Amino acid sequence: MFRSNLRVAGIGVLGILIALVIAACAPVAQQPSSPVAQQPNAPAATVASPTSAPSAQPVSLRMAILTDERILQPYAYVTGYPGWNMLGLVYDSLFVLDANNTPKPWLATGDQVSADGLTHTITLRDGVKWQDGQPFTSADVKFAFEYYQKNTHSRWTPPVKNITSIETPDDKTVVITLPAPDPSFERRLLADVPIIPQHVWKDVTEPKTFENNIGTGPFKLAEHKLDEFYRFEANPDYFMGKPAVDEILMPIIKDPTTVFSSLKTGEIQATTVPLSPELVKDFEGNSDLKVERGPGFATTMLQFNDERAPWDNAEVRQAVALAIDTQKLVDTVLLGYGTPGNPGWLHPAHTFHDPSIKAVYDPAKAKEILDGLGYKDTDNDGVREADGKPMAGELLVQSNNPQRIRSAELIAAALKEIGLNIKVTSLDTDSVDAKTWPEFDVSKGRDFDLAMWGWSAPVMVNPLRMTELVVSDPTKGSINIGGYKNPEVDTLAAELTTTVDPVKQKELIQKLEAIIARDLPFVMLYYQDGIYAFRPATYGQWMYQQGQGIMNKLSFLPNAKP
Amino acid sequence: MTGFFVGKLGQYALVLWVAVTLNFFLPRMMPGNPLALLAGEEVNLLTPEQRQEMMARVGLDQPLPVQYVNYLVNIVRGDFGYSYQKNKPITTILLDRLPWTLLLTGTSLLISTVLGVTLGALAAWKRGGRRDVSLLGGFIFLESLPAFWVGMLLVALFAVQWQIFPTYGAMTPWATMAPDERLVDILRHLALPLTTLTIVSISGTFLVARYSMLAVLGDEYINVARAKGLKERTILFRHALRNALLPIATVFTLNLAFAVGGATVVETVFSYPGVGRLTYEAVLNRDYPVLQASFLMITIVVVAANIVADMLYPLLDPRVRAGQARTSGGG
Repeated sequence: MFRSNLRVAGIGVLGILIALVIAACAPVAQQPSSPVAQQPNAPAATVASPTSAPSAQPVSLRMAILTDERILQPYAYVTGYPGWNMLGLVYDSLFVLDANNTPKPWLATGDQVSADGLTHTITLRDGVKWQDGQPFTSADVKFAFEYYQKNTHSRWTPPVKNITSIETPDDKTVVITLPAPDPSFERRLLADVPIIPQHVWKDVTEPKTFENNIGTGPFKLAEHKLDEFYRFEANPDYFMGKPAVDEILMPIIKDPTTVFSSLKTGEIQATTVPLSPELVKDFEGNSDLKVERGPGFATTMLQFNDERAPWDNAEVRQAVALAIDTQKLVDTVLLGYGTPGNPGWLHPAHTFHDPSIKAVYDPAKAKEILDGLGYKDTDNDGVREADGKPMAGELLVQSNNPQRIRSAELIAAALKEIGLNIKVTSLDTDSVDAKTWPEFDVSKGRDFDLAMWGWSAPVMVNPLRMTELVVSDPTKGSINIGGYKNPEVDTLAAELTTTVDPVKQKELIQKLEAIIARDLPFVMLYYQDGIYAFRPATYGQWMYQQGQGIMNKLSFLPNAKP
Repeated sequence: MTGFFVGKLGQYALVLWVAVTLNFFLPRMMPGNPLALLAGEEVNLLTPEQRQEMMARVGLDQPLPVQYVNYLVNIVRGDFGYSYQKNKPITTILLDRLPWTLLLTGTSLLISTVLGVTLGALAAWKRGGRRDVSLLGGFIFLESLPAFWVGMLLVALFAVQWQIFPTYGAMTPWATMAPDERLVDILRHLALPLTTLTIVSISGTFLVARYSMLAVLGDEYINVARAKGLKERTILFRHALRNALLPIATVFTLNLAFAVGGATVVETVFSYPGVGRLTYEAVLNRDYPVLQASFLMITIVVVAANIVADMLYPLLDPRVRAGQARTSGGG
């Protein structure tokens, strides 16, 4: 009796499994029907496109990403990289950043600035169409800017909210008036704000859940399956010419190691994930693969709590910086694929950097400084005492980042040499954030000693954003997570944010660099190189955008010279 | 008998309520909040009013007791809300993932149970014999292998080196295929994750089966069976195994329950779209609704599995049946 029960149960379980397999197949069979069906607003006109070069085979590129990016419209994407870059395949902005991060006209043909720097007269390109066939006009630009002003929680709300007025004297002209001259207007605003179509978005009140992907961009988002893949199709009528790739499939592969394995097998031919340093040799030796490498603008730094003793003392911070051998960090942790930190923040390859500012490694000098402060090891336990208390602290590090963990261990060892007792604590990213940057609002205070930290490339691409790192007013110094305060810096930053003249700008930025390098609110450790591998047989005309990598729309438009 | 089950049901209801409550409070006790997830990039540039509005939108501005009551009411209504991260109803997300998880973990559980029990029984037959020692050693070795490492090794060999199986995913998502081709495609994608999961989970069943067989094989009736000259196979599988099944069944039902929770590490290595990875990401992102729903699902299945186990015992073991009869007769 029992045995037959078991058999029945076994058959039942098998049956369920088979049913599951079949159930899993079922939706797939319907999938290939028509990608256009997903876009309710797309009229039939876009489907019948006569363009397809008969000479060459259509190029279909598989490029893996690590996480889902939601609906992928300006209010519903997830990551600054590569989410924002993927957004750029579908949407355009008035300007675009070229390989050197210089803003160049794109949807616009030019930007005339008035003598007082307050009025920008922007002319638009002729013959640009939305992906649903509607013409693109100045009304769309006005609408988009005002939409971002009204509907907050977008990346573009802060830069557009101060605009005084936007006028459209004709279909091809936009006049934007500012309350004060803005030196990063073209870079921060024109080259960043994606223009959305008025006829699609005009009645949308819940932008975060609005499912529509009509832009003017070189690719149409044809299909998205949550947590599985995105499929983009080339826009044959693109105003800068048809893209060199006809279809981009972006599978979502959650594990970087698996991404690189798939790249080796050819299941994918490119990825937005930077190659790990330890794989570079292996990949460079593989004739099917090509590795593109360049300076990366993403930073890795040692962040101090500049309000907590003894780290509130600039001399103590200098001692810490002198004790850390950043070249050694680059050699051990990055296997040489990186640049040691410039104590003044900017990457040494950055056009605004002052080359006379350099990091110094001198542990003997570090000890001298601490001795000079009277912070000596009085009880001979190997740890100095500052004002009666041992110089000890906790160094927070993100548990999902092995490179930062290794760096933190090396730093703790180096600081032990000069008599500081640093304990490395590894926590998940959210927990580190909650201690260093509660609610992502620097006015909410901080509860940490030291933390491994870093900012993404865009913070450095625009050199004027370095003021946000060091200004004491929380509304302006919105990423000054250490709570650093220096009136000299505040004055300099105020001057910088209204300086339009590029020569004067550079001079002020270099002054700021020198102060940061002296005061060290944080220690710049290194800038990891951007290393990207791909299979050139499928597609190889990538554009390496300085500091940011190969994932940008210009990579797919080799003939478009902005 | 009825009283016994009513009492049990009361216990289960209590367990369920405690679990549901923990599911609500535990995620909220972790440091950090879902603001970054809600606001996306450049969350630091939001004004306090915007932050407030953002939290209000998902009801996180209300006092905890109010949130808790809403949460309970919504559960009763079967409304699990929207994922902060994915902007989709949780039920849709979970139902998308569940079949894949069950396919992976269910198949693995089936294989490791059948194999583990059989081999465990064979090993126990001659304790300390060559077969026992080598099987025991082998399974303890397997037990010690970390899942991610086994997964990466299999990928390196079978996907990269010999290119027999694909490296990631549950199927080729964008291709058009006939149903039979699709089935092959799914099985090819299943091969490596399934092997990995089975390798790292089989030893548990083996060890329990072996131990529980050892206990039974010392009993008198086995000696009697041996004295009767019955074949090893007959004694093992017809006489001994049936008496050794109780602990094995317990382990099986518990594993069955945890199978629903998915296999996070294996799902990550192979980018398999299962529930485990979903839950893990929700923890990292403080996506409370997803956490609540997936924990609730696991809780319900664990409780249900326990009920099943409780009801199964009397069927498996006459002694439990007799014991119950006595209890209900006496009480």
